[in-house]
Amino acid sequence: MNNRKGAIEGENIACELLASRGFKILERNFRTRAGEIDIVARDGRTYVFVEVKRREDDAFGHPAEFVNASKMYKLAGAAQSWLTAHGVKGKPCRFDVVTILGDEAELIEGAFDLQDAARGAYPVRNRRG
Amino acid sequence: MLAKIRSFALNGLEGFEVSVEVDVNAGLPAYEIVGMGDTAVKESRERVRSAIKNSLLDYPIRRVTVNLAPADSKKEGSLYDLPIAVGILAATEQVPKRSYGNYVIIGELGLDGSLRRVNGVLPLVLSAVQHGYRDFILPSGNAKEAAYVPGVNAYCFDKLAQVALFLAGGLQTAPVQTQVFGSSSAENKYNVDFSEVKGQQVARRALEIAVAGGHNILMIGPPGAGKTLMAKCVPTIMPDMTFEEAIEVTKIHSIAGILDPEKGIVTQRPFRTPHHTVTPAALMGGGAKARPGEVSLAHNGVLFLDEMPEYQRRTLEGLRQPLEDGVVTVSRSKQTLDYPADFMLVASMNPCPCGNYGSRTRQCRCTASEIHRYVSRLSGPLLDRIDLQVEVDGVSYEDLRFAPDSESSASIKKRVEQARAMQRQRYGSGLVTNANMSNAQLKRYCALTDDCESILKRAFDKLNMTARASTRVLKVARTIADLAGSERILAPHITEAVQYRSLDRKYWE
Repeated sequence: MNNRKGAIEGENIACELLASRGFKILERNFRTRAGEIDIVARDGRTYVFVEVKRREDDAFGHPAEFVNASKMYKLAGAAQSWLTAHGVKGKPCRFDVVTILGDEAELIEGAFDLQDAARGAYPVRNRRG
Repeated sequence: MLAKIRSFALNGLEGFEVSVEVDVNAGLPAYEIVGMGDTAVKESRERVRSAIKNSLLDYPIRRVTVNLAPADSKKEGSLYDLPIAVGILAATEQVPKRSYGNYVIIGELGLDGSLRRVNGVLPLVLSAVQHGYRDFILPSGNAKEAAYVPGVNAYCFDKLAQVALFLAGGLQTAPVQTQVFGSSSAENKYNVDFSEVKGQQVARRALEIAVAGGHNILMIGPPGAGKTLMAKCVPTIMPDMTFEEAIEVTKIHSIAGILDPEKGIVTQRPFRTPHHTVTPAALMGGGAKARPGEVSLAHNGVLFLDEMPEYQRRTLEGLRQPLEDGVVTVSRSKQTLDYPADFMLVASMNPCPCGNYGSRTRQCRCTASEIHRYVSRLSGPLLDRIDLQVEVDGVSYEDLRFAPDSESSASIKKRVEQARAMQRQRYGSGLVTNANMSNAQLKRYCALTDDCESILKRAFDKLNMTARASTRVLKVARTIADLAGSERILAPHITEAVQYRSLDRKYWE
């Protein structure tokens, strides 16, 4: 398996797309215990956390369909850590997704919010159990 | 892109407009549906998605938000599948903008893109027409129902793809041909007929009177005497339903989901026979969704309670309100609904636990107290609402085997219709029968001659009648006079009417 190479390639494509839209890339592959963020960027005053999804074809569905609730939850957690680590407070942020299907790259701005992400929280343990 | 599709929802028998707003937005693929939908509405996601894909149309890989407005009233069922699907197609410009503006759209989708029939289309279409809408897109399975609403253009389809093509202007189709209601006897085939009832002259006569005047009737007799058969024959001698009556019945049956999709409208008078274990909720209407009960399903027809004392007491007592008012009010925690329940009550019972008390041919084994306990399961107030009581005795072997066919339902029905015509003439507006005339009308139309007066007085004293019972006797006498074609109530009429009341004394004293 050599997914890492493909992923880096995908992230490169995504960075090009973002740069062409005037985003400033701040960091790539930010990792914490909560999860990982592929790209952190800035769009004007807004901090943007970007997830990159790449698929060769859509036989099993569009890449965007693979960003599920638990992934969103992890991204949200990681984004919190990033903001804390960099001392960013009170600035607007959002979550974007870049989908790459074959060699077609697409940017979904504001793909989800914290409410959507909250659905991916680990199930709360039954207090009695 | 936003699309707004017009649809309708039901609250009881009344419909209200629902605007299905579909917004397809950038964002991760998701499907949100808001607007107080039940589980069937929430599950529309899977049906809509598969139906669009399998109709070779594109389901957007974007965020789909559906709102069913007004957002504060409950929406039930699968009828929003089609409006949602059309909304998605419109919002993604797969059908032209504004092409759907005039239509009220209703229908359920199958995963393969087929359109399925839904319940309650007749009341939905009727109330949409009252709101001023004329054009509908419906599943083919509901075509027959909608065809009976005058002045509608109902376009009916089998598949979602056809609807999309129609809206795009690529499919020319005519609206469903409006049906003219013809409640001819040829269509009303019953599988029983009064000609099959052997003997039983008294009971036959009593049933004829009951139907002619809209009275309730109780038959008392041993098992196997033919009570049930005769009860089943009652609808065969009732006058044919008018269009308005048929629509009322069809609305209720459509909501309850017991409408025959092939016919689209109920032409036969309903005959409902709830089992004696029936619960009050099933009889009166109720359940979480306040569905119509047996009394409403029997609207404009017959409610037959076989072995009446076997029913739970509180179930029977629940009958009092519909018997009195012709409507039943179903109250549930979140809603209160009125359903029409104007039925003719036909009841039967055995005279005692063993069934043979009062029989000329068989021996009764019950003690007096057993008999008393048995018959007293019917409360006085309930009995008071039953105008005629008649004894049905067993049939002799000769009558059963060799008697010629008795008079047929068709010829009895003619007399009933004549008597009803007299009542219509007398009371003006169509739906009043002798049984539900007011006190003022009673005074006016049931004036008695001196000799009639003295017959009634003797009966009143001798049978120890209540005031209500004597009014009932008068009403029955009025019906008997109508059957005889007489303007005035005469002595034989009142004498006969008194007879149908005299069992009170035999059993309930």
